Parts: sequence; structure tokens; C-alpha cells
Amino acid sequence: MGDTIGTMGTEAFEQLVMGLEPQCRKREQSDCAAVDVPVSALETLMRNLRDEVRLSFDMLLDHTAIDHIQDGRFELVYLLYSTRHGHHLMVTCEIPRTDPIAPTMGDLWPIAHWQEREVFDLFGIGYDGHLDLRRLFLEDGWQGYPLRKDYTDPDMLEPA
Amino acid sequence: MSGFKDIERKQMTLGGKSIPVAVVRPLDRAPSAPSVLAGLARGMRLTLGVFLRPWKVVTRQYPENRQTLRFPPRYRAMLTMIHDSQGFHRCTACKLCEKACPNGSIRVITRKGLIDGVNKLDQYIWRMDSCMLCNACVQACPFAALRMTHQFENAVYDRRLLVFNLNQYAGPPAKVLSAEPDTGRRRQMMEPRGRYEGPLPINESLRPAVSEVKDAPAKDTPA
Amino acid sequence: MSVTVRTLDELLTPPTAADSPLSTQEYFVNMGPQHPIAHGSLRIILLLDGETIRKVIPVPGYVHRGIEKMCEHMSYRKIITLTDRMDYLSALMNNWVVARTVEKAAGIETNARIETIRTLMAELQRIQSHALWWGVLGMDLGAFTAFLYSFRDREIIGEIFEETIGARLTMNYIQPGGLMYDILPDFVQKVKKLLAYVRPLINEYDTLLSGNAILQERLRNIGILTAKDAVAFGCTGPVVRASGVPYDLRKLEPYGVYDKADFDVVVGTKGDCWDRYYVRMEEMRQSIRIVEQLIDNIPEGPYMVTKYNARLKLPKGRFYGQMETARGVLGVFIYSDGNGDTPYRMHFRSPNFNNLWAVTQIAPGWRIADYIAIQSSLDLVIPDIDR
Repeated sequence: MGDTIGTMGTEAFEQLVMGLEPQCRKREQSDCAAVDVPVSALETLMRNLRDEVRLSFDMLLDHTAIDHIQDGRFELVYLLYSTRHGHHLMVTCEIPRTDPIAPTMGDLWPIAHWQEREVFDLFGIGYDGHLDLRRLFLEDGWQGYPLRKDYTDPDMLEPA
Repeated sequence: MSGFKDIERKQMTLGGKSIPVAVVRPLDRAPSAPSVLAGLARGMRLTLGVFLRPWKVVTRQYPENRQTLRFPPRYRAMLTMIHDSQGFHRCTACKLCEKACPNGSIRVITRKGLIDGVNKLDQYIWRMDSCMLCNACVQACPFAALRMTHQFENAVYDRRLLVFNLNQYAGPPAKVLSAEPDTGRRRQMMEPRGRYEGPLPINESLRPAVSEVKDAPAKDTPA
Repeated sequence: MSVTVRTLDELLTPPTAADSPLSTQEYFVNMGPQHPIAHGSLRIILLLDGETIRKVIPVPGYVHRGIEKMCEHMSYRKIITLTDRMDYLSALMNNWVVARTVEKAAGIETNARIETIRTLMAELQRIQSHALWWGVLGMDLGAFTAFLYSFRDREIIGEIFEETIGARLTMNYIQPGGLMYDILPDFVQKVKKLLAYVRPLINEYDTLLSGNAILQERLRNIGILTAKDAVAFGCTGPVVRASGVPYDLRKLEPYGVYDKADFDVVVGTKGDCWDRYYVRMEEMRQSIRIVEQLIDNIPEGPYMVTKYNARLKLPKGRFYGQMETARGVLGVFIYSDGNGDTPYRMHFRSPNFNNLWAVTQIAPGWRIADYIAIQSSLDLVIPDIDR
């Protein structure tokens, strides 16, 4: 993947991102440039990623979450792309499973409104500042969040 | 023509790359009255031309053409177990197809062989009602014992009739049977199997009761 | 931090006369979930003032099957069958993106033959998909003839798939490590015959529909999506290209053998419905160009490089792969915990999900009849939105 700026390697690219936000850490076990950031610094980092000229990530390709039930946390995943430089970046952010709240990215990239609604619908992650946080695929009265690992449904067939 | 077909070729830059692009010409003005009529007339002429040349029509008159309907050899419809001219199948009941099936449409039931006590195929149950004809079982089979046939008209009034028993006999595969010269012993090893007569719906037996699901310990307990 | 969760009912409180200016009153109209232009089950709630749209509230979810949850219990080979059922008009490309991501993660090297056949099949399907879209757009706008013509040609391309793969729609053909079947000996000859048949057809489509002033007037300057909005809304595929952004992964991050073929990325200038319409028409011509260049040099080699029954074990980690389907960028995000051949979490970044929300930006201000043109020009496939 074209996850580098010109001749800059993935390492140097990640260093540049980490220079923007001191609380950033390199995210291991990823096949493209990836950084991990605490939730308190997520919003400022994302704003910088979008507005910094050398990065200018103007496209939020994807946003999703992973339920790390054993560690008791959710991992939010943001995939960014820059149409100016042609590089990708994966930003991950871990939030506790007991109090899953993250800031919304809807002000930075409008598509985040709906991507966050999908994550809220399926994982039950609340987005602070989201103007229209509703269920997306499931109906409003649905009980539970299906993509959580501990979700059970009386009609569920246990996998063989 | 109003010029919408004119495509301009040039280079554009995106993501630090120079990309050859073909720029579609925008429609800026409403078409003039003569060109409106000309455009409509051209379209009319095209449809009229097809109307006047019925031999160019490609419609197939299904179901009237049932007798002449031909499918390419790889066409995927009803799953069957291949039985050779002697009526032997090649299934060793290794269950690889059962493992490969994405939605549990196949169940291979084995039993101990009547003579040698080795695991043999008893029933090969295929649920057409949940099968999506993905060909995974045919691909997974190391003995080429399965095949997708071309029989595609399988509508019935009750979906329970869509559970099939694919093997014609319970017993060892062709390899073992043809190595056995004694026809009497051979017949002993093969027990006829007809159409499926087991419990319906068959998933009920696999499915835990609702109370069991609730009482069962959670697979992953939160830390 | 606090989070307020809303419901659809709260949004749909009927406006009173006092909310609206003059003597008019705004009202809600449900379009769908069963509406001919949705091409599936998509409910659109329109807030109308007379015939003018004030607000669009898409309510997806009527075809939600929980594919991502199902993936967590399935091996990577089985997941391929599910991807057929997302964007069923680009089923092969959906297969391919999962196969490619898994191959990349598991370190499987495919050969040139596999990649060439994959590329050829994907381009044939792109023509097929765009041809269907063209007919359906015609039907949505009241030209039923277009629908018949496009289905006639679509089926002829479908016959190539039927002969090679055995299925027309849900193919399950491109699999991790290779292909389900090798191509038949007469494949090359049949594709050439097909190309000779299809090439004049695009001109026929132009005569029938593009040159029709009624269609032109219904698409021209309607539903303008600016380049800035298109990027911010994450639109991809012909939708973003029609706005003048040449975002095409076939050029930007070439996969398959696209780097061996010479083709242009088709872009529009204004981003109105006409641009989205004609970008797709021209893309069909470009796809024919790609197939023409590749069809003569299919290298020799095996069509499957792994054993089918071998377990595909992925190392622990996060993997993201993406590809240009007929509707835009389909991304696959896999998080593997390193145990077994099932993903711990699998997410599909579907092109239609992101393209759909552009209607909330571009539709307000237009009439209901224009909305039909806008949604048709976005070419939405609903099962891909809901997954």
C-alpha cells in the first residue's frame, strides 16, 4: 500500500505522526502505518492529522471497532487517506469496556456521523458530541449490541 | 450528436501520482429543439430496427424450451454423490465436505462397518433448503465423490422435502468394494439407503434448548 | 462526557404549521422500504415542502444479515461465499478483495496466470454491472426499453461466467490462493467474440438513452456533488470520479495486472447526475480496453497455489486491504488473534454505505422526481449497505 510520503519510509512517517502528539505510540501488529493514541488526545490528534499540510488526511475511509473482551476494552480503528499525498494511516484508540465513550469525528469528516452510528449500533460505543446518535441497522428498541463478543440472543444458533 | 461523446485526455495528479484521465464533457446547455427531435428519432429507429428483425431476438422461451435447454458442464445446481455403473460411490466419510460447508448444509453420519469394524458412511444428508451451491464440498472432496448436477427445478410445497440422502447404500467406497471378489460378502457390506427419513427439521437435534444457552457459562468472561 | 441516544420517532415529529413559513406545511413521506428505485429494501424518509425536498433521512437495515458477526465463526474460505452476497453485482471483486487480503496476510504468493484471470473476470463483471445500472437508471427515469436492452447484454456476459464458473451471480470463484476452476480452452475466443459484440453496444446505449433529450434534461445540473464534499463524505468509485477526483485504486495502488494495461481513469468535471451517468458509460469502454489488452497474453501456470483443505492461518495482527469494485472502494479489515483460521473481527468498508450518505448532502432543494435521478446515479446496491 502507498502508505508513505514519497521516499519516506513507514517508520519515518510514523515518527512524523508521533511528533504531532507526544502521547502517540506506534501500533504493532499492523500491515500499514499505524499509531495508537489515548482517548484524551484522540480529537486533537485527528484534527492535526487533517489540518497539518504534510499529512492532510482529507478522507476517512473507514471507522470500526474491535471488542477485546479478555482485556476489557474496545479498540476503535480509524483508517485515513490523503488525496493530496496518497498515504494511508491507521489510528487506533483504546477505551474501557465499562465506560465506552469516545469523542465524535463528525466535525472533521462528515462521513464519521454514519460510521459512528454503525459502531454505536453494533458495539454500543457512545460518541460524545454526536448530534444524531441513533441505531442504524437495527430497530430502536433492540436489546444489546450484536458485535460484542458476549452478545447472546435466544434465537442464536451456536456455531458448530 | 450533441457532443457528449467527446472525451478529453489529459494527466491529473492525485496522491502524488500522475494519472492519465479521460474527462467527460459536461452538458452545459439544454439541447436545441431540432436536436431533441433528432435524438428521439435515432432512438426510435434503433428500437424499430430490432422490432423488424425478430431473428435477432435472444429471448429463450423457458419453460417451453425445456427439451432443448442445455447447460455448460460446470453449471451448479443439485448436489449428487457419484455412483458408478455398479452402483458404488467413492465416499470414505472423511467429513471434509462437512467441514468445508459454509452453512452446515451437509451432515455425514458414519457407523462401524458390519464386517471390519472400520468407520463407514451411513447417511450423507444434504439440506438443499439451506445450500447456497457454492461448490465448496465438491472442491474439498479429495476423492471426487461429489458433483453438482444440472437439475435446477427443485420447487416443492414443503421445505422439509428438500432434505436429501445422497448415498444409495451405507457402506465402504468403490475402492474397497471392487477389491472384494466375493459378491456375497460385498452385498453384506452394503445396506441400501433410500430417501431421507430422519427427524425433521434436522437442526433441532443440533440446537441447544433455550434454557441451556442461558445456563451455559459465558465463553469469554470479562476481565 | 455525556452521550444522548436518539430514536427515529423523535426525528419524525410532524412539523406544525407554525414551524413553516407562509401558509405551507412541511410533511414527511416514506419512500420505501419497498420502492422500485431502491433496488432492494432501503427506506428513505423525505421531509417535503410541497414537492421540494428539505431533508433526507435514509433508514437502512432492512437487509441486515450480520455478515460481520457470521464471519467471526467462519474460516476465510467460507467467508468468500458471504462476500458474494454483499454487492452481488460485483461479486467477483468482493471475492477478490478478501482473497487478496488473506493472501497478503498469510504470505501466499499467487502467480501471473491467477492474477490475469482475476483481472479479466473483474473487468468483465464491471462491464456487466455498469450495463445493468444503465438499464435500471433508464427504467427509474421511465425508459423501460433500456432495461430490456441492458439485461439482454448482461446475460450474454453472464454466459461467459456460467461456462467458466458455473454460476451467474453468486460465484465464489476467486478464493485465497487461486481460483475455483481454470478457464476453459475456448475462453479467450469466447471473450473476443463477446468484446466484438459489446463494443458497438455502448454506442447503441448512447443512441438509445444518452442522446435522448428527456434523459439529458433529467440528469443535467441535477444533484451536484462537489469534489470537496465527495471526499469528505468518503465517496468512492464513479461517484467521486464524476466530481473530478481521479481516485481509482486500479491506478493509485495497482493490484492484479492493472499495471500492465493501458487505460484512463474517467473523470467528470461538475459532479452532477449527468457526469455520474457518463463516467460509467465511458468506464465500460475503458474496461473493454483493459480486457482487449490482457486477453491475448494469459500466462501459463496452475490456477490454485494452495491446497484447498489446508488451513489458512493468519498471524496475529490487523490487516487492511482494499480494491476498486464497480461501485467504489471495498475495504476489508481483518483483526486476527493468531488462533485458528477464523478472524477475531472482520469489517467490510463497503462503497455503497459511504456513497449513500451523499444524498443527505445533495438532495435537499431538489424535487422528488430529481431525487429519483440522484439516487439512481449513485448506483446503490442495498445489501452492500446493510451487510
